Amino acid sequence: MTATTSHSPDLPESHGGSAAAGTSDQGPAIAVQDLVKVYPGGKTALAGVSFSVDRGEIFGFLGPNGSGKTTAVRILVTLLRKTSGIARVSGFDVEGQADRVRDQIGFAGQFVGVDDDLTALENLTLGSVLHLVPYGAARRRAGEVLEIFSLGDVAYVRAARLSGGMRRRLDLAQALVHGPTVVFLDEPTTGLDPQSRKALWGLLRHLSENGTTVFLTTQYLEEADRACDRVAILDDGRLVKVGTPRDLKQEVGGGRLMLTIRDDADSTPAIQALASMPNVTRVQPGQTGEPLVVYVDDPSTSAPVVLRLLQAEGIEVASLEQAQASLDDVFLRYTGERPRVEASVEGTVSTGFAAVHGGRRPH
Amino acid sequence: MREPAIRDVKVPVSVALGARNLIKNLRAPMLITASLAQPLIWLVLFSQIFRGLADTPAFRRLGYGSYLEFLVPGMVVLSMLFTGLQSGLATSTDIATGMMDKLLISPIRRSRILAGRVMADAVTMLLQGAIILAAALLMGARVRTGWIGAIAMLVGATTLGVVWASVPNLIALRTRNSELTMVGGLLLTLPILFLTPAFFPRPLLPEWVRAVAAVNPAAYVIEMGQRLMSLGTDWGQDLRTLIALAVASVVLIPLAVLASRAAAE
Repeated sequence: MTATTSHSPDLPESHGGSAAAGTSDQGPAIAVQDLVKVYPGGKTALAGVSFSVDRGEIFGFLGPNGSGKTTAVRILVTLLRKTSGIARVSGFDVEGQADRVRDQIGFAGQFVGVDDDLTALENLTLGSVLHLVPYGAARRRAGEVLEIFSLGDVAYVRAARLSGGMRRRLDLAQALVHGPTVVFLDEPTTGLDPQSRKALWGLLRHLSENGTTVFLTTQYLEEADRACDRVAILDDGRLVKVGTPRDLKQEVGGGRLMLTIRDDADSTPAIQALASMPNVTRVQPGQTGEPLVVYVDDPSTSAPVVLRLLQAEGIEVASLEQAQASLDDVFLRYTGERPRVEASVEGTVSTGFAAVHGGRRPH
Repeated sequence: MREPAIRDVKVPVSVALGARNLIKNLRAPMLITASLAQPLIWLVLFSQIFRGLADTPAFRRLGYGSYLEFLVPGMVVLSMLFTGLQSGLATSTDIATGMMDKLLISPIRRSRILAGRVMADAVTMLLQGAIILAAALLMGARVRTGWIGAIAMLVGATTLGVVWASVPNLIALRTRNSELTMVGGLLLTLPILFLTPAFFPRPLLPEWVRAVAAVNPAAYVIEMGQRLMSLGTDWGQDLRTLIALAVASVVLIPLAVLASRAAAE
């Protein structure tokens, strides 16, 4: 074994003097201002986006399909040229100082970028060598990182023979193996089983506590809620909201109650009654057969009050479900509830949301 | 750790990438096998079919040993052309799998990526050329200029192959599509081979083919090989071959380099 005291899963620290010395000390890890990307075909992917990410922060980029998340990531990792605006990583301009930016970053894209003909160990070793780590050190580090990602048993297996989840993990390991100071992960948990997801979040949290900045995009709002320090919601190439998950959730109300009224009842009197209640923020009528959604400050105290009120009005409630506000609510509130047309897995999920919530924009 | 003692050698990135490309050729040898098998089959077939050509006075007057010896350089060059195509396909695969992204976001010069590709291509081509030459020797061919001549022929053909590989790589980088790379490369490969004296000596070729061959670097390399196989060196002609290769490199390699720079579009 190597001499590292492994009390916790330690990834290699940011590699050596050059990178650390190159960081401009005080500024944010990522600074983006009025970023615009218009593709050659004329499609505007980013229509003037501004945000900044602090060092050590886990920053989640949320948005429906086609909202520009991946475009933003690819500009920040120097893979795509911006049309206008400013984008800096660790203080370096992504175009004028692309090499300095590349010194600082790790990246795992939406598609798994591992070499099928190389073994897991070789893939990771190459990952470090590409970041100018000497071969011996690169290989040792690769071995250690494989263990962290529970891939130690398949170190000598070619990537082509690994399962989808393992390949995904190997890809993520490759983004982290050289000890980057800013990590970009485009939908990192897609294709991971729940255990691996949990492990990844733990690892990212650990990295962020040690000063690594994590920028990620995700469709799993629940995860973003739990794992991100701040989230930004992107819609149609514009940032519609940036904040901590807690702040954003408070904005839409503390929680909601989902009520189903007995079949033959007309929901209009119920809605009127509910809307007049003091703690109700908003009532959203459901379509036939769908529950009525009542946004309240505190669902657990409001539930009995609501039941009593409806009983007094002579309205029979078939079922009542309560839920704390989630990023889903925030997301849907700010991005609308239209289903997205992209043919992808997430597309069907969005359609699902739309169906549940009545397929219309609130307000 | 299973391997306790690995020295901290500072491997140049281009060498590491070259090794990686070679390892891929060895582990997934389908394409490489194909680009070796085709010239070998042609070597056997054509040396039989056109055998009679060697007995005609027109051919005999030129002084080549046998049709087989005459054919070897063309088949060596053919295998290089195929391997150049395979190089472009490997690049388009890297683009499709996201591997190219990994290379592009690492703090290495863009030229290192190309250098790694060229290194692997050159080694592969040299080995292939040697195998084809060995097969020809087994079939009874002789190299009049000896070892030095054989090596010069292989090195010349490899240089041509590496320069030519710029074209399929250029297509791969521009189109980011392996089908287009395959089709484009194949469409170009055979004319480049046939518009040379690979199968018929220059004096026996139609006027227009001779005209095209005059600007086709492959023609120069093949003819140099044919001289080395049967006739001996001709420094004046060999110099022209070098110039043809230099011109081709100056035109094609910068195109591929520019395309690789623009890959981050």
